[in-house]
Amino acid sequence: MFWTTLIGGLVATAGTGMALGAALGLTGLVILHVFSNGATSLAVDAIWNVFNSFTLSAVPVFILLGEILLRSGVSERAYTAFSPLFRRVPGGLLHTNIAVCTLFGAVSGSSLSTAAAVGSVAYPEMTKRGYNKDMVVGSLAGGGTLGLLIPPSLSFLIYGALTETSIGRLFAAGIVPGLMVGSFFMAYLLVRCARDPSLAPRDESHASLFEIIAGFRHIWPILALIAAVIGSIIGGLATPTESAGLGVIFAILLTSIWGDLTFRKLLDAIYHSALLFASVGFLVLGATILAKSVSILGVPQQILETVAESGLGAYSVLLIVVLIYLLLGCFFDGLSLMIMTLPVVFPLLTGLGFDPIWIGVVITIVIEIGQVTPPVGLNLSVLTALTNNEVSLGRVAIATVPYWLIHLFAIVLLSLFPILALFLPNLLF
Amino acid sequence: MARSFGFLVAQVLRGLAFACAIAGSLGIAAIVCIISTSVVMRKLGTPLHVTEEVVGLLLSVSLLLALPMITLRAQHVRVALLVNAAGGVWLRALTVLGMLLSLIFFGWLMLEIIPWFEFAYDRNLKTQTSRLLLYPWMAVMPVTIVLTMAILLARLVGILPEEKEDARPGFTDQSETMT
Repeated sequence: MFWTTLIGGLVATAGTGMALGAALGLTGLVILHVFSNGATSLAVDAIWNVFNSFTLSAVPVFILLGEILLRSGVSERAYTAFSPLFRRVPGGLLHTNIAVCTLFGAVSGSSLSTAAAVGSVAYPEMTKRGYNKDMVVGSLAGGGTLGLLIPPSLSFLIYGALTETSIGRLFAAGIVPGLMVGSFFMAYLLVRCARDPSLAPRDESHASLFEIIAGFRHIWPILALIAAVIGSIIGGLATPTESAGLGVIFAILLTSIWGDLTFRKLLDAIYHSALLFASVGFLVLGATILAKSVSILGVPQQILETVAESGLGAYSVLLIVVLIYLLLGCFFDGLSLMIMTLPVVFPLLTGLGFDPIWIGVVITIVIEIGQVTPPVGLNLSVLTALTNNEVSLGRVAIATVPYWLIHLFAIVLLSLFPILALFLPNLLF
Repeated sequence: MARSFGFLVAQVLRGLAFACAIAGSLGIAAIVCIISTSVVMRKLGTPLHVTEEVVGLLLSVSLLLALPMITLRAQHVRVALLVNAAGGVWLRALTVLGMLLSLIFFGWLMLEIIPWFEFAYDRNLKTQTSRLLLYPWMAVMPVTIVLTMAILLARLVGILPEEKEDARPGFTDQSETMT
């Protein structure tokens, strides 16, 4: 009865084309009303509590950072700089998306912010250049997932706080898997575009080493911006949210002096970032009501407890946990899912002998998959919003399937070779 | 007469949604300013203790204030698989059903918000650290939800046509306040 209501409610409401946030919220309210003795009043508290969050405020601030860069002509310069580097590589600027997402992951701490900020810069530029739209949004949605894996990461911060695991070790553990996944993404793009050159316009002109290096002088302010954001966190100067705020101030100063940012463009950037945040935020609002309705019934815990009681081996349980995360990832945003399930998953997996740091990395990758799984894949949603519905949620989801599979492959590799995640923290701490 | 009344209602709704969106934008700008000031003040040895609470409140109200505008411009994230496949009467039926369900959602939420707001108002609830009164911030939720419902209702009865999806006017663009 519960599952019929959940799945049937979601399909029936979302199928009408109404706002997905409202569809999720309405299903959540129905579940609260029917299965929790009419406890629908919990929905408003849940919404208010989720959005009264200092950590979450990094999301609109990083969206604003991207909008400022977009309107100040930086995107033109970034692509001018990266063009020679990837000119003769099949896939061209699609590789740039992954490279910039990797770099931006080192500034943003959030998968959503990475997809939003890099996407707002890259999508208009690449569609203008004639790249296949599905390939562009796929690379951005997939590349955006690197934001949670490469430090600073909101996922690691919350995981560390909830499980009393060293956040410094978690940050260090995310670096190698993050770079590894990024490399796999680029390898996939290389193969795909070599087989079908129509996906990405190819420039056959030759670029000398000097030209490549000279191109990067155009983007030194972006590199300075990344250094400022990362430096402020590593130097203990600011939290990720604070460094996001400082990043915006730094971006305004830089692009006013060096770019084309005017006061009007700045106002425009702020206005659009507010609308974009609201578009994504409304989805989070609906997901929060649904998450509340399901978590109050203890559904995730019941599922995981059944798994724990079955007497399976460690890796079988891990596989089931991953599958459950993948299933629940269809309905919940990543951080909500992690917060809801950690009280059961963490003791379960550590009890089976898995390293807490390693578990943090694997869970982060799995919830990243949830970020690109419809209907509640927030990376997909942010990109759909960024393209102004030019590319539908379904199309973005299909375009992101290869990145989804690469993440699963990364989990397999991490399971076979846990040292990939544990090497750096063991070396540094 | 009825046509001019409909025109007036549509103009008022557009104006209110635009005003709310501007206020939401100011909220985002304020978040950046407060966070940056907070970092500087901390370095100067006089940390701002109110930062986290005020930023959290600004985040909530910024989201809510921009909600009517994204509803007006149909910029919500939605699953369009069925809608794209449908046509004619079926498309119209789905659209009407979608708007009705959205109205039910916002209406239901509104029913829950009223006692929630009254509770905070009657007790003059304040934030823990900065002792800011909560109800003025909380009042944004019912106000923006009523406005969002009014926009949906106006669209349902045909007063307010759905604006073009490819139109992406900005802060400096006047199209929000024009027909």
